[in-house]
Amino acid sequence: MSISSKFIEHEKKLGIILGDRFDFSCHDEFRDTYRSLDLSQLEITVDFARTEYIDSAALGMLLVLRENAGGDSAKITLKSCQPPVRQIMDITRLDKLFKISD
Amino acid sequence: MKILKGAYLTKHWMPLAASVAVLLASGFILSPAAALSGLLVLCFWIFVTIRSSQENAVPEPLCFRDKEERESLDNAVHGLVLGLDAGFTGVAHQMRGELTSIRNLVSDAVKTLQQSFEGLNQQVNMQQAIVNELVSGMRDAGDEQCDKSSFAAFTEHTDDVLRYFIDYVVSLSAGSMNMVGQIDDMSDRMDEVNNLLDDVKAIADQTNLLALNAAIEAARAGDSGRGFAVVADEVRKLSQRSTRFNEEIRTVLAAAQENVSDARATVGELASKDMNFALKSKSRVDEMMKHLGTVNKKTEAHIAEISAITGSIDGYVGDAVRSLQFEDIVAQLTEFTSGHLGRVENMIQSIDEGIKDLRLNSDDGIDAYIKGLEDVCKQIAVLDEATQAKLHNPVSQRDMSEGEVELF
Repeated sequence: MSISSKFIEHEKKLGIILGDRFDFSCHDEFRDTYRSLDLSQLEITVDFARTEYIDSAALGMLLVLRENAGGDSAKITLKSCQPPVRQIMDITRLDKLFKISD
Repeated sequence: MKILKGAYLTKHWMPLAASVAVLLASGFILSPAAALSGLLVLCFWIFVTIRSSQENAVPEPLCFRDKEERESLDNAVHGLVLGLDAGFTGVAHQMRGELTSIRNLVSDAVKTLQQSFEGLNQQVNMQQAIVNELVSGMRDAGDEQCDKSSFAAFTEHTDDVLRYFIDYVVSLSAGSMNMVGQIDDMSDRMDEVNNLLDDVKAIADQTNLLALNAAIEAARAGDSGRGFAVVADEVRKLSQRSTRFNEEIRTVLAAAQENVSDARATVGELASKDMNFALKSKSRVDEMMKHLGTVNKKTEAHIAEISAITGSIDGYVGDAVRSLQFEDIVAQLTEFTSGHLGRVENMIQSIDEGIKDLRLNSDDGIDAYIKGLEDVCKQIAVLDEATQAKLHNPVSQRDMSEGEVELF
């Protein structure tokens, strides 16, 4: 399991912690972290602290998560992005769709 | 009286002739004008000396000893004048020739210089035009309406294409991941169908078992159970068919599940693109833009410098062409010098003509001779005044920087 998650129901918070690679092979694991939950009211944090590599599928997965969490009304924070990941967020303009924090 | 003057001349003719010779020599060496003025001074000296000797009449009577002496003095004087005439004519001819060659040389050189400067000016103007074109070309490059093939426009276009491509890859990935999620859901449903088929198989198995039991009971009942045995057999067949169907459905479902799994893999592969290509391309385009900015700035600065240099070259060429006016001045000065030569020639001719008929050895005596000399002096003065009046130095400008010359 390269992806772990923590759901605190009474705080309505979902934390997803990614592994060193976040790509298509992580699809099922990533989806399983939120599949059974109603995301519309949740505050979601995706932690990239360990992640060194992401591919386009990862961006797609983040966008699907955003869609499931209500699109423009979703509250998703991408946390602790390392420089290569951060650069990809910048040039794909995903930093406009997600909140990016250190 | 006559004898007295004659005696004086006889007494002094040797130094007189010597000074005339010195004057002549100096005339050829230095300048004809100086020689001429010397000659005039000499005539005047002769005149004054004779006059003074008249006034301070010495008690001792001086006279030419004979006719031969007077004749040889006459010949010496005429010879002197003729020599002067011949010598000066040669010098004047030579001087005219040299003045002409000066004028021609200067004229040729100035023509060549003028052409060179005009050529230079044309080239400089062409250069300026090219520079202007470059400048306007560069300015246009910044304008979207203009030349699409310029480097800046190309870079901008590349940036746009790259952005479009990145956006496309991201939205394709999002769509694909959505689809993969749906495929997974479908796969789950198929698993559910498989579970349901297990239930159906259990029912069929149980039905088969029931039919078997019914057949056994029918056989025990004997003849009365014969009809029931037929029904039980039919029910058993039905359960077996049901089991077969169940197997067939399971096989089809397994194939479908395999297809779905393949589709999932394909979609996943499509959506999984390494984003480093975008990073690299983007940074390359950014670098290009930055470089372009620097190059533009540098080029603009250099073009401004070139423009300034061209302007100053223009100024220098203008100055040079204006300075070429000296040809006119030289031409006029040589003309003027030629005129002066003419003056000198006229004077010598006047002397020649005035002295030609003047003879010491004549019946008119020494007074008439002196009168003749005075007349020659006056005649020279009158003639020179008239000639000088015609010669007006037209070149008053001495400084080349005066006046402006337009280039054409």
